[in-house]
Amino acid sequence: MARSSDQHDLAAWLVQIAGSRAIVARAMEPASSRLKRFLNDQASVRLAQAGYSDPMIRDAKREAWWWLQSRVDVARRRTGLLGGRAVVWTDSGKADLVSIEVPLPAQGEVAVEILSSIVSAGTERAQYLRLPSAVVSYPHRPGYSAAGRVLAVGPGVTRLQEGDLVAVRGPSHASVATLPAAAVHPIPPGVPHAAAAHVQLGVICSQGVDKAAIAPGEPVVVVGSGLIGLLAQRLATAAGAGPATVIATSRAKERTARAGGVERFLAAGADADEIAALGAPVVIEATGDPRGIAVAVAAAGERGRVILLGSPRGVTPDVPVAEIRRRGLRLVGAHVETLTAEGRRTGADLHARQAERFLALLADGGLQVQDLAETVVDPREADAFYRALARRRDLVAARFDWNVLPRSARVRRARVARLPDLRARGLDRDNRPLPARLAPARGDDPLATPAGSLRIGLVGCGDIAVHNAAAIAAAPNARLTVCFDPVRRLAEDLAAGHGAEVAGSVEALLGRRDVDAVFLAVPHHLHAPLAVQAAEAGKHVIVEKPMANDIAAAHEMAAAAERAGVVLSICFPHRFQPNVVAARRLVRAGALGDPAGTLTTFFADKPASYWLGGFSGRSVSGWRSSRQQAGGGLLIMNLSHLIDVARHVTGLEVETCSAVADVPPGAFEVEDAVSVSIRYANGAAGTLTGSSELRGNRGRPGELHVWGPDGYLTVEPESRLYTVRAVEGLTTGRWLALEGLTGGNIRSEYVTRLATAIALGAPPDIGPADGLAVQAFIEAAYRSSDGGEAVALDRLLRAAAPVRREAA
Amino acid sequence: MRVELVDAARRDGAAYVDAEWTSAGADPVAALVVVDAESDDRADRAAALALLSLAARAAREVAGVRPVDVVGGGFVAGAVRALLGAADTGNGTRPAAVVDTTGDPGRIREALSRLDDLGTLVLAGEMAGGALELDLYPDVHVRGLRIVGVPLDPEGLRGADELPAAALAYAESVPPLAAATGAPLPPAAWYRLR
Repeated sequence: MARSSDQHDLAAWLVQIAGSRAIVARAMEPASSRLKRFLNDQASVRLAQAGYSDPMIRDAKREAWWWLQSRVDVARRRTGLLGGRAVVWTDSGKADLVSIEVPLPAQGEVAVEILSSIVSAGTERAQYLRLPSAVVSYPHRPGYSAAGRVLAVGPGVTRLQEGDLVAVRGPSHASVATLPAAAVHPIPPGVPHAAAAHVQLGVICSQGVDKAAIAPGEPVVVVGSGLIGLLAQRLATAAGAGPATVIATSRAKERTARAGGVERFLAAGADADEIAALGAPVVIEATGDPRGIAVAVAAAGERGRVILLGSPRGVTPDVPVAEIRRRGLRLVGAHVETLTAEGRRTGADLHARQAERFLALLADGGLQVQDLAETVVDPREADAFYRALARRRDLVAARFDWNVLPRSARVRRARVARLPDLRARGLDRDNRPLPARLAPARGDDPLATPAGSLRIGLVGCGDIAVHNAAAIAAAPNARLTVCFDPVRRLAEDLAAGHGAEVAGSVEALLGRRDVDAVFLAVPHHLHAPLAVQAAEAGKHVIVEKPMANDIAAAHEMAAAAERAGVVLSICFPHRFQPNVVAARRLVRAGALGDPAGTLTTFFADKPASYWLGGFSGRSVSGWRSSRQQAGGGLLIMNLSHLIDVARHVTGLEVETCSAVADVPPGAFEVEDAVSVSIRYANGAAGTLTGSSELRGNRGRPGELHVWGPDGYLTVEPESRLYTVRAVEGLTTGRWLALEGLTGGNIRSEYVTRLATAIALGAPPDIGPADGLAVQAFIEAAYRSSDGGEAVALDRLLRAAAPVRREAA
Repeated sequence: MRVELVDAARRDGAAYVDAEWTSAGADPVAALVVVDAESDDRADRAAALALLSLAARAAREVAGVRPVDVVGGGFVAGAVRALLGAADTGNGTRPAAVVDTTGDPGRIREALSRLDDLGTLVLAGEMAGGALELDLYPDVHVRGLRIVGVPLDPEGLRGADELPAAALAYAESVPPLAAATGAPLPPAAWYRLR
């Protein structure tokens, strides 16, 4: 069974083994130990033998272990289970939102639906980066301060009831938690839950401020402008301290500090003299940096109190002990757990007492905290948030907003008999993605509803024209009226099939009143002269890709259309593939962040006959193998589609190309293989490579991959997405297979939308600028291959642009 | 007559040195000099009062706390013990406070490691130099320790009437040992060097 790739089988296998050892109530505890040993020893080996990767094995073990733990909890408590979601660091640098189960409350416990949980940026950043004194083991559930609503209370709990809004000390970032009632405090009326969620941070800071024993009006210096530092300062000020000064490594948080009443804000490095002159009676060190104590001691006056509130992450090589002694300073360690030791001596729950003081302070308006957690995080984007947090030093705090999750995901009754949900954990050695479907597009597309009735004359009736004629016929708002080809039988053939007439010449076609637009499907070197001729005849111009055989010709076409006031559009129909439409939508929605790279490939095994007659052999001509007439080979002929699609999906413009094009010896002048390195204007990098001589390739020839800091998207050959951003309602942190992306005739869609744009006087989807961008890419690549250096597209476009008449 | 704390290497004339301020073959890290003393006896008494003052303020920092360890074997350490009326803790007992009179980073680090949670370390020794390396999170922060500096303040005490009787009795019993600068020092609590 273990060798099966079926998720359910795997889950059942683990449960069977777990169950055989564990689901015997009286033997629960020893069974847990045995299962743990089993998971750590035998299960790892057997899963590895079955072909599962290390991360998958780790996830499976975690799921099996948590599954058992929650059931042991339930058996011990004799209660049921609640399900929800939690932020979990599954491995170094990897945060995930996973399903969890917690027991319903037993004696003295309370179950809480969490509404907000606070990220103390300094603490969690240190843990995420595994800094000294902050090393955590995985899986790790970060977080310890939250607020929410009571779901249920256990026996013996009388001061809380279902529905109460409460501040909660200790829970990790999760949508649901069951805790001792002593850690749950009613939120006073008028206090927002987002503020009350700071409760544990309030306890941490309050006890530190208490240890400073600040006299009324006594100046206070806080070293560090993180959440602990700024909250401690606000609490000190609320307790009657005098002027407050904050010392920080940068001025990034000065605005927030001053909003909390800080009078002076000093930079630790730049303002050393000012710091030394402070002579503060009270200094609260809250940096978490082992070097912070030196700054704190420097800021302290004779016999001053220095409170070590921040948790130093690492060794301080030279504690200024001589200074402490010489100036009679008092250095006080103020970790929140000291309250526990103090409480043991007094018999009081000092944590609870501090929490209630903090909430009362919020209630009477003596303390504001909501501006400290300035960033609100969607829990589904936890991975993106922590990755950003690792690089940011300006963030004071953040708040997970659990309300954004669907109610069914936040809290649900869970079944004790449920099997571990391993597939949802991505546990699939075949790396199969989860199926996903995009919601229907919102109706903000002006070209979505067909309009007008465009009469089209087709010039060139060879290979691709067959598809173009069919596309026009399928468009509800376009009609093929007339055809022309120098080989009359080709025109007659197409015209007959579509109820169109045959023109005897280009001039005759252009002179007809029943032609609004001309569709050029001719050899590349004829695009420009015919487009100019058509534009000057007042006809809109549709040109099969590429725009032209070189960039100068493309410029001529654009200029002619502009002069004539007609529409010029280039037929890049792959933009209308549903997977491409979806990809562009996802990138625009931020699924990847700012795109950082592209990989485009095109591998085909083209028959030699292609270069003389296209795929159909309908019209035999050597233009495709002529560098001058075609403009090039594989790159301009086939990859031009993918160049346009990549640009369309990413929205990126190419800055430079470095290319190698391989023209094989023989009669053909054009390349059959090409490789291009791309630098995009935003700094992203890309690769495009292709060959028309890839033996054995009979599948779909093109691939397009796009990635960014927040995700990875495969457009072709299959639409797959991995994102850490909660966009379009999609699951984050899992490979998703985008389903339902099937559509109709993409050329027809292109024609329909173009006809609509012309009828509405709206810009078409694809205009001269798009054609020029692709043309410039192609020309830059060829020039780079010829010259051996990178070529800048912008310079190429400017150099080839025609001089405007008015400028001349 | 006044008492000054000076750099021992730059002193001129007689100087008083606690046993913990000096080690074999090395210059003392600090010295007290009595300026304008009318006699050696009066100078001895003035120096003793200055050291007793330091010991009294160190003892005050741990008043009421038990058990307390005192680190050092000099005059100040003895005075603190006398003032506290307490013996050092035995093996296996974590002191609630430690008074260090040595100023030695190694002994300070060792004292911190012995302290009980929420304990207090009083720094009453002249610092001999050398870096004190600590991981402040486990060594101080999470245990809620307090480190209190008590400097020697020769000007801080004007007369014997401010000192407890136990301190004065101790001083009477431990006069300074006269010795020559540069010569090997015999064991004593403190010295008058010439």
